[in-house]
Amino acid sequence: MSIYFIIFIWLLIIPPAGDISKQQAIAACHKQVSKHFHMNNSNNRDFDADNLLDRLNYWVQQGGDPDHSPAGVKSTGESRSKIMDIKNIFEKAGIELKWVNDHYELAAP
Amino acid sequence: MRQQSPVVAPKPHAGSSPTTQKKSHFFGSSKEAGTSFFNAPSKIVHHLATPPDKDDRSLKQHELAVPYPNPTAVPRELTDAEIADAINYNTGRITDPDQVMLIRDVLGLSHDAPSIDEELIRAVADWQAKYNLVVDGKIGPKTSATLGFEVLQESNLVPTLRPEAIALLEKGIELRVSNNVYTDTAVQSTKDIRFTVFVPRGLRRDDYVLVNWVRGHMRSGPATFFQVRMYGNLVDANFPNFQVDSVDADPIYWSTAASRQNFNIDNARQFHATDSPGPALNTEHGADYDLHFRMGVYRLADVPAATTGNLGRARAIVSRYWSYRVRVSAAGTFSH
Repeated sequence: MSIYFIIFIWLLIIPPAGDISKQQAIAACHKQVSKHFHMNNSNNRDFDADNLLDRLNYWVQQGGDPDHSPAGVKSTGESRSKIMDIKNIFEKAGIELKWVNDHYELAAP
Repeated sequence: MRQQSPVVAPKPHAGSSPTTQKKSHFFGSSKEAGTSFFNAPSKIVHHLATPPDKDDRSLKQHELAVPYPNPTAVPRELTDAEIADAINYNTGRITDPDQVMLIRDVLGLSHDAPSIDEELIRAVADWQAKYNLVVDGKIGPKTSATLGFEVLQESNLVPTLRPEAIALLEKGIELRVSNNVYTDTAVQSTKDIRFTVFVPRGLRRDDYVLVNWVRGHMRSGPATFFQVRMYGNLVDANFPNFQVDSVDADPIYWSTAASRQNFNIDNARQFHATDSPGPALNTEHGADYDLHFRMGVYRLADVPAATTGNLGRARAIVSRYWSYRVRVSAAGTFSH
């Protein structure tokens, strides 16, 4: 409730000037709200998408990413299962990921 | 037929005389506990001071801190074979004589000896019926959880009972395993096993964690091992003996530097984690995955912050063994 109120106030006071239009601002806000909403409904500890992304990349660094694992490196299961677990949360939330060099980033909406 | 297990001598309480030892298990009796039941607050606990009549299984005099959910329930009659089975089960599960005597006390039986006998089995069955549990006379996790919660409530009046209540409640912790199956496709063989931990009422869910142990190897060829990250380093996947299985120094499963507990929370009493070794790929001709695991539930307070393979004196409350065994043939097919 409170985040919607803050966003509402913010939309009232932000000027539709510069290089961002009011529609873009609204779209950006909706995306941000969507992230929080879906994450809070994921039945996991509270975190937002950026926090979850950090966690995903931590486990990717530990090895075991089934999609980007160095040759000869396997997982006894801990990192691989966590990567799959976090990817599933993103998928359920409708947030797409992209692989950039050696880590994941949130794909553009 | 009356069956009875060998009587085990009770171990003395640390720092207590035999007299105080007996008192601690006989608090329901005003004479022994030094507290008059009739003068005590209305919520005081009073177990039977004398064994119930052998023909009266209703335990009508039994007063408890926690009311039975179904006080009028009558257990089904157990067969002799079921009673013998329950005696064997309980003898293996409740090995502490003090705990046996405490359970007998809670159930309203004589508790001057830690006997796991037919009388106890029938009393357990009666308890199970009144708690709407499966009636089998076995003090399994669910029965332990209800007995432990009763003792925990009694410990509000007799604080010395609290450790024994916790011990009983921890026997109610369950570690359930699901999806312990291989999924083989044309290109890979996977196992995505799930571990669900149930912590009974009276304990805090966040006081318990999972630690996984591993033994075995993952070989890419006859003499070459795959590598895995273990305690922060890349090492050969070759573990002749069971050791803690953790990518970082913290032995807790799914721990990170930012947080020791990253389990998936199901509800106030339950959390879960998954494990997915490998996977074996069809392109890895001749590869041999032979990993054996032991996933255990531990008290968070017992698990050291860092490990190089063991947990010191920490002991699992409950463990489950499982494995990931896959061989990749020269043709790229999988066998288990």
